[in-house]
Amino acid sequence: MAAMDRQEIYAWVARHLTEMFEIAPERITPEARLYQDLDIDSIDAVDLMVKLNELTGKRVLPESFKSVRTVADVVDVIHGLVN
Amino acid sequence: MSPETPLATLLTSAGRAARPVALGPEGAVDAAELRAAVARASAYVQSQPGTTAALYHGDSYQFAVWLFACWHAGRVVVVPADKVADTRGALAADAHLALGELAADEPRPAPGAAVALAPIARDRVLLRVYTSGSTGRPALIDKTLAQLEAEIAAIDAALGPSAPPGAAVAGTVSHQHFYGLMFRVLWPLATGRPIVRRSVRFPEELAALPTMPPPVLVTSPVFLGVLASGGVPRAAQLGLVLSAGSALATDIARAARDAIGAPLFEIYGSAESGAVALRREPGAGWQPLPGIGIRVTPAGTLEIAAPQLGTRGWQPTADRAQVTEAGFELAGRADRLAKIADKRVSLDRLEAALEASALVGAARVVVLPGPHAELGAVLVASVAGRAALARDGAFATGRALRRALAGEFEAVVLPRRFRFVDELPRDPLGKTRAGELAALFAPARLRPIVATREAGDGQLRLKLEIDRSLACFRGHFPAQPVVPGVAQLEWAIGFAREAFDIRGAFSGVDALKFQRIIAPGMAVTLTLEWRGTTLAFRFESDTPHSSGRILFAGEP
Repeated sequence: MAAMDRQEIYAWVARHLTEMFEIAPERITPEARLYQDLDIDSIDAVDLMVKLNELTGKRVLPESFKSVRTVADVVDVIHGLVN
Repeated sequence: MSPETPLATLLTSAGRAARPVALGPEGAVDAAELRAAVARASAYVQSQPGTTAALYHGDSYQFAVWLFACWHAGRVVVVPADKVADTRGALAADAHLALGELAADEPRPAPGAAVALAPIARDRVLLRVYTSGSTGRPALIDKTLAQLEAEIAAIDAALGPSAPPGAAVAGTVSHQHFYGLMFRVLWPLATGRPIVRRSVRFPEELAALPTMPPPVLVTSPVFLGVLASGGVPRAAQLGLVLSAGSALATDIARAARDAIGAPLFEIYGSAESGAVALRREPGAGWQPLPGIGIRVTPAGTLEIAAPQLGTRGWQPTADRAQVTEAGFELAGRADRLAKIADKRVSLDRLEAALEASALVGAARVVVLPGPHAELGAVLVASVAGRAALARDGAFATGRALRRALAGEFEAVVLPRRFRFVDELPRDPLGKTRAGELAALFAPARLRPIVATREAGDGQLRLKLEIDRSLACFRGHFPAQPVVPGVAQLEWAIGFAREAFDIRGAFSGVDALKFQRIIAPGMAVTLTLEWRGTTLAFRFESDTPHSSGRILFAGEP
């Protein structure tokens, strides 16, 4: 996958959060915490990782997801993988 | 069953001609009139080409006339569950002749024309009925007359003693389903019980049924639920009530029995097997009908052997069962095992676990189509559940339920998506269809599919396919879907903003004309012309649908 800037990645993550988990777009902000603010649980996190694997063509290691707390953290993980 | 009443010779042997066979507001029809009507209709059917006829009629007597007319003419009759356009389309490929309310004009056989009726062939397939589709797509099941006669004999041996000879048979369920066809039409006709032509829709109508002797009511848990909560009109008198289609809840069964004051039997069976067993109350064992053998395989599924199956030996069913002293008990469907991420999971168990939550009134779990099989849960919230939905929203409530299931099921098999509905989509027998449940998860598309696209200088021409799944049809209007005017404007603006450099905000519409409605199934051409500050749009097919000029404010 070609290099993407953070803004493009953020837009992609926000769209998937809306499509996969039906989270209202207005609730998604870079600071929103996945578990506490968006009600995403560990199963959703795994599903999101599977999608990330498909997007990046690279394996997102579960360890790199362990420290993820916010939407911005997800963006950073992908940014680190594709750039 | 008395030997002189098989279906094959029902209308060819000289019976008691004055015996009533059908009752309705038009008055009673006697056996001689039925015979004459079938002879005329059969002459019409014989004059038509083809081997197969599709039959739909809201009147059970008229339905019976065409059914026997076709059989005496050697035609196979396909019985669709409904008469909506999709069904007609699907049938058209298969059936050569459309009869009853499926015909463009109901054929009216010439009064003089009639054929002498010969006995009907017993060993050819003459009836094709649909399965309910509760676990998948409806499938067609073939029946010979011999199978139908065997089933009637089994039913009459079990129920005959509880339903007096000559008792009228009324129903709330359609004869277009096999349960209604057997119990409302074939069993009564073959055993000398008059059929009540029109379906009973409301409890008040029970008071108008004949009471000498007290009639039989062929119904389902849906209607019994209405009787259980609203009661039975005082003037109504029923002799026997039959329920089938879906499981009857214990509390509804008790309340309905109290309201009815007559025996209430539940029937177990399917379009494939016919009626197999009955029970007198929920919790009591199922008793196989006389002549039907049952056994349970080591894997725990029920097998049956019966003349009505048309095959020798044991036939598997998809129902899990246990044999008990009182007969047998059913334990859910074996084919409701889904394979999710290579793990097997019982949808029945998931539903039971969801229904055990204080937040859930009723639950159905379906496999959602897609690249990876995943489960969706369709839920009716309880009072507590509605409070949780109002407080936390649907997403968080679904996740809370998933946490509650986590102890009992592996994480990978848990439902991925949750839908809360006011009530489960049910058919008239109380069954939920897998396809309708899955449709609740289909993403609603906001814009139609673009079939072709031609772009020019400041011009864009799109051919759009207007399909039923578009979000704008939801609630607009339930019976008559129409693309709303605002949706047409939105499509025009949306496609235009992608194609042209439109920076200003929408500021108004000029010369707006809506000439003809746009409905699902149409293909329309949208032509857009961008003229700097105005966007001209036109929706047309072979006729203009709408047009106008949309104005955009200049750059701020």
